[in-house]
Amino acid sequence: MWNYIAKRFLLIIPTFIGISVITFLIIHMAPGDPSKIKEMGTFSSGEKVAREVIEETRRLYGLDMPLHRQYIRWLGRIVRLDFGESLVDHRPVIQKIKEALPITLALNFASIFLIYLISIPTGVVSAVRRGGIIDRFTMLLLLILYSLPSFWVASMLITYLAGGEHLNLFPVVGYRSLDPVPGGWWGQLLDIVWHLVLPVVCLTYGGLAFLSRFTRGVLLEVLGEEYLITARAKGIPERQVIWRHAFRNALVPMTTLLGTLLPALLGGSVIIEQIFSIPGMGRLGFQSILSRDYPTIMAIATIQALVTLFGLLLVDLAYIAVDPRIRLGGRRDV
Amino acid sequence: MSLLEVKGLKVDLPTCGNVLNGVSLTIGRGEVCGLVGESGSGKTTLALSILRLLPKGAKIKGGQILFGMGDEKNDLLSLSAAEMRKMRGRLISMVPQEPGKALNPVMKVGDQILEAILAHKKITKDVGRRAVLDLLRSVCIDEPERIYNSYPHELSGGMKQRILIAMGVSLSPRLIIADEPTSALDPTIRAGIINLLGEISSSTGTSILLITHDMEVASAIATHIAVMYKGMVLESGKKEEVLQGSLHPYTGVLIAASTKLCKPRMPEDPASPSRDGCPFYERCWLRKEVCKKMPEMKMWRGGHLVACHMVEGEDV
Amino acid sequence: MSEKRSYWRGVWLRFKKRPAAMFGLSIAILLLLAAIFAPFIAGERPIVMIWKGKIYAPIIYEPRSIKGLDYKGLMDADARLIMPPIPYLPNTYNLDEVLLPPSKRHPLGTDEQGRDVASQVIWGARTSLVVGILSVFLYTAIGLLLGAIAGYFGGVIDMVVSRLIEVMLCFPSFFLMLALLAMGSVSIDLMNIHIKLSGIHMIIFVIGITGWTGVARLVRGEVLKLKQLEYVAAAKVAGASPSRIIFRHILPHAISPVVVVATFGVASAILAESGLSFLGFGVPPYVPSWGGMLSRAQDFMDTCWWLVVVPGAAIFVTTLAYNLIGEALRDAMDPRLVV
Repeated sequence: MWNYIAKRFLLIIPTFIGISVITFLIIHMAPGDPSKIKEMGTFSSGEKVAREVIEETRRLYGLDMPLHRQYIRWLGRIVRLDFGESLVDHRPVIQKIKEALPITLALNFASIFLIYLISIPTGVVSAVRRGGIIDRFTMLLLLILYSLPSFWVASMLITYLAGGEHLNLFPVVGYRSLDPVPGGWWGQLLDIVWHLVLPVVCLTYGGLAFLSRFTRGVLLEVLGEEYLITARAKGIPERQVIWRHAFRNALVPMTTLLGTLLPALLGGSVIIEQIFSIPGMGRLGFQSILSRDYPTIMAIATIQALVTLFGLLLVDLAYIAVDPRIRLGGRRDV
Repeated sequence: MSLLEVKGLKVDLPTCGNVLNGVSLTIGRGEVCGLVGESGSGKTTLALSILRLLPKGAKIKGGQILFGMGDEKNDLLSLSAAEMRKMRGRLISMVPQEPGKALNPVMKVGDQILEAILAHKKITKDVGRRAVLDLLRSVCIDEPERIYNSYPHELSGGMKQRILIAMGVSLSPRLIIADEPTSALDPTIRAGIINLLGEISSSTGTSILLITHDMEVASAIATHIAVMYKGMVLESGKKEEVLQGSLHPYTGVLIAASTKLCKPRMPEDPASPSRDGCPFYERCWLRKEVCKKMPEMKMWRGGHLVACHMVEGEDV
Repeated sequence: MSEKRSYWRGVWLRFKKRPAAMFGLSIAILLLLAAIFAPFIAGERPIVMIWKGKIYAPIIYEPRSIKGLDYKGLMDADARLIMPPIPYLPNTYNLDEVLLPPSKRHPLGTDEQGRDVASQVIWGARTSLVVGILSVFLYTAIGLLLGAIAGYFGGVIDMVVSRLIEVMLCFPSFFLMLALLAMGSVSIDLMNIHIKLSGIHMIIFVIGITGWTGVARLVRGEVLKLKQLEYVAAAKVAGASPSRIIFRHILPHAISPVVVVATFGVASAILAESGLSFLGFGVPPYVPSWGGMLSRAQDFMDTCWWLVVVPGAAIFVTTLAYNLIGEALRDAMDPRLVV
């Protein structure tokens, strides 16, 4: 087992380097060329802006130094989480991220919690009652849900359920009301929840559809295994067969899936946050792309990649708990 | 005096169609019945039918499975799901084939045996655990504590098979169905496993239905032999009578195949299988016109039954 | 070879059995036809015209003699024309007919510049399908190549490719696509070839370059499994070169799951293109796009339901169709599944 853990930690290093190289490359593909920046500058408001931008970029990326030196500097900055100042409002980038991250995390955790809560029982029950009318109907319904474009659903929900001329059940914008809310601490919480209902719904339905179908698929595979016959032949209750034998084995591929969902967890949905004007990571990312705020863009890309990398490591470590074959020196494809 | 009586069992499977075409078999108390047949003859389907563990979509088209002594006799096919579950493991248990696939890979093997016990007996986990350790010792496993806490992938094939046998014996059932217990094992350890089963039967009086494709394996510990082909039992009786005085041509083929490497006897001219007649029609060198009709099971001599038109016997 | 043919025949037979799958397939075929024949369905040139004694098919070929004719206004006695059923181009604006609900003249209404919505939907199908299919083609090719190399050769090559896959996975793909698109255009200089990608090609490139990881992982896994089969060893003993082994022996068997993934991939790619266009980073504004239509509809959501419902429904139905096909293909190719 320790072999596995050590190997896993070591493999982080090349990936980390890869991430830093890619982000470094993107910076250099972007207008680091002063003449291009000048162009951008003159377009918006003349020489003064251009000079500021050039200087900021120069300072940030040390464009006057040889390439490999620049890269080392970049690595250093990543480690210190120093991403310079935003070109938009000159505040430290890391500050903006610190403000946006909790909101996105809250949204995503709520969403993931709901997804797992509903999907797992749905998937398991569908697999067990496979082929029945309920199963086929549910699977079709889920596929339909999965195919709905999120921005369309969001638009429709806003039009028909919020603000506007039809029902007005939910607010349209933001994650909390601008006016003071009565009820103290509890009232504030409820206000936030009320604002987040629609965005969370939009974020959740797709993942829910996907995970239910995935769970069903995985469980169906497991249900075909021989050891289930052995389990039933012992005369243990069917519920125990399903959960302790089938589901327990299904956890292995489901843990793999968790690894692939991680990037989405921290990214925040650009589209949903933009539509609902929620000031999270997704919206920050989008605004910074719109305004070509390169320091912020780089920071977001790098931080998200690094945290995802860390998350993948955690998932691989989670395998140890889930699959005893790893624990005891089995091989796993890395 | 019979413990298990299968009468005319007909079973269809979703992909294969008709798999059991009127199987009749009797096992008495304390007997070891070696059910011998090639792959595809329906042996495993018979085992699963007795335990009512057939896959979804399987249809039982007819017949009875009577189990029990005297007053306790029941038709297993008529029991409810809950009643059947109580039987499994406790009165009838199974030792499956392919020990590599038959154990839950993420659960300790000791716990898997414990699970069987706790499903039927209201005892504490500690008491149960000690019982499992005793069981492991009884199937000749040294270091039972270490093995208890192992996972299937850490154990050898022979060891896993012993675990499965321990599982099958754990509740002292009346009948153990052993489905090809040695097929997946190396020849050198087969003898040990088979003899273990034989000892269990002789020391506890448990009946065993030993399913195998190898006549030699069957004859090692069996008291009775039943020969199965394409969903029907063609001959059955006491071991000595069947082996030394085999009546059905197919039995002869099986015996010859197990003892020497010689080509099986084949009919002179090829023929297509007869749909409603004897299942052995296309491979039989004795076939005649009358064989196009299904032969009935007939009694040759005290308990020795055979289903073949070429043999004269009394109706059963 | 004949077993391959009967395998695909078996797949098709199982596929046919599912009504949902056939529904999806019909939708996909309809869309493909709409995309290919867009000028015949929604356009301002007649399909066929008899004028001054000669027959013309102006959509296919417009000789100089009739170039620039105002077809709609042609009321000559000796001119007979058959116009496409929706006689508007997607970009033809008409400020007299702004924001009209569906009517006989404009079966799906008009947008804020008087452009016919139905026409935009038909031509938008072309955009979506071109982007969807070509980008999936691109990343499937990349993924197949990298995955096969990684799986077959193992060792350092596998390490490098796996690290690359992991690096790509760590970046949130949508954000990455946006960032790349923000560059405006990409110029590639390979040896003596200069390629500049912009507009719709840029989108295809961007989706292609972020989407290959899934296919690569899948192919790598399959190749690893298949590598160990006997006929590969036999081919090696016979002296076949690695590329021959990969292409002739291994890949044909790895194709099935790749086809399934690619089908789902088309659905995702169409969603991605729509999403990007919705945010304003997709195809240029003059290219008809369902996502773009939804984006422009945002300001009129309350009053003009057709501007929101129609393009969204188009995206939804297309995505659903491909998902249905992918799902049915996956079940049809799985030998174990018997329902």
